[in-house]
Amino acid sequence: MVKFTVNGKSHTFNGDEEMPLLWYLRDDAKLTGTKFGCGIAQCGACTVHIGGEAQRSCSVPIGTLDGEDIVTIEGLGTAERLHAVQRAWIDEDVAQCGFCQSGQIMAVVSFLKDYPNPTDDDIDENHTNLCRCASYARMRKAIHTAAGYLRGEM
Amino acid sequence: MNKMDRRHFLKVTAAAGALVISAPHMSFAQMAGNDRYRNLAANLGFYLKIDADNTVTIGYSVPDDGTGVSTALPMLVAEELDVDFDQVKVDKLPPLYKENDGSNPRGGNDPYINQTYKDRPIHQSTGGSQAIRQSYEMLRQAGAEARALLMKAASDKLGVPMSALKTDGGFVINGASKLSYGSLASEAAKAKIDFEPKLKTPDEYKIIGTDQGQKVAKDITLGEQKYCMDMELPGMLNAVIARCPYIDGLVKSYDDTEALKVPGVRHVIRINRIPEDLSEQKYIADGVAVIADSHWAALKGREALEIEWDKGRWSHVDNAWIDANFDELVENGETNVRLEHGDFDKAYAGADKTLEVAYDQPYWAHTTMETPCGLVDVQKDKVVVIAGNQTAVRVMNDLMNVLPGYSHDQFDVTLMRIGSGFGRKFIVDAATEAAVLSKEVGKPVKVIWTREDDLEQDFYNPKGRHVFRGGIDKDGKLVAANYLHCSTDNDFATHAFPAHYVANYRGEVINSKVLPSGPWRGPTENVAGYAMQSFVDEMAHLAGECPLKYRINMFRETGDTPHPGFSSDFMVAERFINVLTMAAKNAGWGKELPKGHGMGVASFMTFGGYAACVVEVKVDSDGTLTIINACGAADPGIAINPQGCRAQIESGTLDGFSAALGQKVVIEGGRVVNNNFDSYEMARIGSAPHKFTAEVARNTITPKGLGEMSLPPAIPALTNAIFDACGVRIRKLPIADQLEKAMKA
Repeated sequence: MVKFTVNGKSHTFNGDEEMPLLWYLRDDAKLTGTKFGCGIAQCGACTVHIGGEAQRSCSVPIGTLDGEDIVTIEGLGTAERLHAVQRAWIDEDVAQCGFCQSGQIMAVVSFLKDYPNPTDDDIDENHTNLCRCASYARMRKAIHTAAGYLRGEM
Repeated sequence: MNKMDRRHFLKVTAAAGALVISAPHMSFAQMAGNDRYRNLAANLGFYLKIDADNTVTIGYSVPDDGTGVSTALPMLVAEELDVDFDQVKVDKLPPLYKENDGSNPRGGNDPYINQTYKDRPIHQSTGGSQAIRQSYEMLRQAGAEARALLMKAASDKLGVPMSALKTDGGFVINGASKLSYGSLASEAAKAKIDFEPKLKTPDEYKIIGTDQGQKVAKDITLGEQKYCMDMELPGMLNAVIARCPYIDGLVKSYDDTEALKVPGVRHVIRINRIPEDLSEQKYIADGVAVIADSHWAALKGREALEIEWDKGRWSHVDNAWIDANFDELVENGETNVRLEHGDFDKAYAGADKTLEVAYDQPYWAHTTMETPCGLVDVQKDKVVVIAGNQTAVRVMNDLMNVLPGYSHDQFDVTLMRIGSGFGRKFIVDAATEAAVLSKEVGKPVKVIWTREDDLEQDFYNPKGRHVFRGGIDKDGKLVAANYLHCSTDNDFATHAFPAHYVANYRGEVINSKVLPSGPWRGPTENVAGYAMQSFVDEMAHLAGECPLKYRINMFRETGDTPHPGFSSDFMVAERFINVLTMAAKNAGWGKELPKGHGMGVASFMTFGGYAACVVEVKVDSDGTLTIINACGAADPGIAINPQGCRAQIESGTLDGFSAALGQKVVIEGGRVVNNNFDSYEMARIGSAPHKFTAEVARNTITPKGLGEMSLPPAIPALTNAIFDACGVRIRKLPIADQLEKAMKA
């Protein structure tokens, strides 16, 4: 048995502990904002926070999560209280098809904790999520915009 | 269109105090005394709904795969309706369907013609950059009709002539007083007008031409937007399919003993190749499906299957074999001349300087972010389908092919927002598989493809070899050109610029076919752009002229030329010159560049839309490539949502760079082996230039589209810039490690 929290709520899992967290979130917890993209931690569409750190949930076996606190895109912000990164994503009109964007946002939230004032090179080296629509030009702007919001500049 | 036609085309109803304008099949069906559409009775066509509380909801009929049609199409309606677009809600509408009535010479599966009634297209397809151009007139008419009815209702209520009334922001205005559309909705639904509302002229537009963010942006950023993969039906089972990885291979035998022991696995079912005839391109791969309570259990069950494959006739094929096959085809294959004018052979023989050059590009995969997925419940008298495909009618047609006995009016189809399409989602394979399996097990079945499935079983952008011979006269003018295009799909390439801009031209094609292929963002144009714009660049250098001026001079000298093709009749020289000039100006073309930097330019017309790109790169002495700056410009005609247009310029350009930098399908032993993102190289943000300027032309020309236009010129602008920076001409894609190798040599 594995016990953990998702977006602040207690969850208990009894089953195949090899199952990646991604499929628990999507199929059991019905939190479908976290997406499947590759299954091998290469694209980042499945990014969630585990203990405050961005992790690619497609490659995290659920058996390793006992006692962990997990946050998914659904737990990040609400329509009334958007997270700064979500706000920046809307303001810069980043999303095209949108399928990868939950993962992008979760990864950027974590990235900006380590790089509150990032350079373009910081972004290049550390943000490795795939966007198939290649919305990277706006994403770069939105990361800088979000960093500004988080620093309280706007 | 005359007044009668239009009155019949729109249907006006009152529903619970709301004015609903819908089009068109219910009204047509009723007119014709034909009730077979009854199951779609709740399914309005594109529509707008005005509720008593003044909420305006505008439906969009075209699935959105990220190109922004769910915002741009409602803008067209809202413009003529005269509402505040911020207040407008948008809503995806269910698909419509019309059986081929025999008037369609291209047969029952044509997704465009099927969706017409007489001369009125009901466009329900995204692809070919068609959504805007197919809807531009009709959606504005719908908005104008609604506005006229609201004014008529207000006129009756107030006892003033309609000519005394105006509208603005969702209100009918009578001097100093105003009535909300919502308060007039129920009367408007009953109102009659006996004139055809006049459409606005472009100078009167308040919404068209303004920057609008995507209406779905908030849902996406909150993780609330649903895609096919997120959907469930009660009692649903999950399927994963082991498909034969060998091109045109088959299942020889399989053992499911261990698979059936995996907890949660319910069934193992053989699934047969469609079509059965191996000489025809695969649509559904031969395979074995594992059906389980959860996707994870199905995956584990698939791992436990033991399958012996019949590797088929291509098991010797790898990339080197395909290259050699292209060498042979180019040397000895039968050519088909597609376009010829002047006398190429004579002009080439008499040219002052000549160049013979070949370009090569590999198969590319689509790798849509959402892998193919389909959810189908085949019931006794009904088929429920949830899909993420690009064309409504193809979903029903393809499913009917595997569900004999069901007719289209028994289908309840929901098309979700698409987790990117790029042409891949024209193919309804995942939903077809789900239909076959659901019928077999009697429950709803969701089929999810893994990324490996997706890369191994794609309908790839075809590999191509592009052989050119060109000759310039003593003034440097391109006077002779011969283009031989060897590929699977070569409908358009030979007609692209500079075909009509060279006095002596011969464009010819040779067909080649190995891997299954299909449309990929800007079919054929995506690689014709690379080939032709590299060739033009090489000729400019041969002539010792500025590559930008060389192009502009060619347009200036010849002017407009005919270009009968998909969605285009002419190439308009001025529009080419305009986009080239915009991109060049934004990039600072001609300025002095630091050592190791270079700038390249290209332009291309795709499906009637014009695009240009100027790229600045840096190539270090060790061959490290950095894309410094990219400037994309496009002229799709009137820009409905310029902000959305710029997004497509950015996306097309960076998608092109991604393809050019590293993408190549690797084939070994008759199967695709780079089957996930660890081996199929796609660009991340780190490859994208830090500087990017997208500019869309501002004009009032009837629109084409923009989803595909910016990719074809992006790749040659990049490779031309590389040549300018370091003298290395990229004649084979991907760029990969070619620069490192060349700089070492």
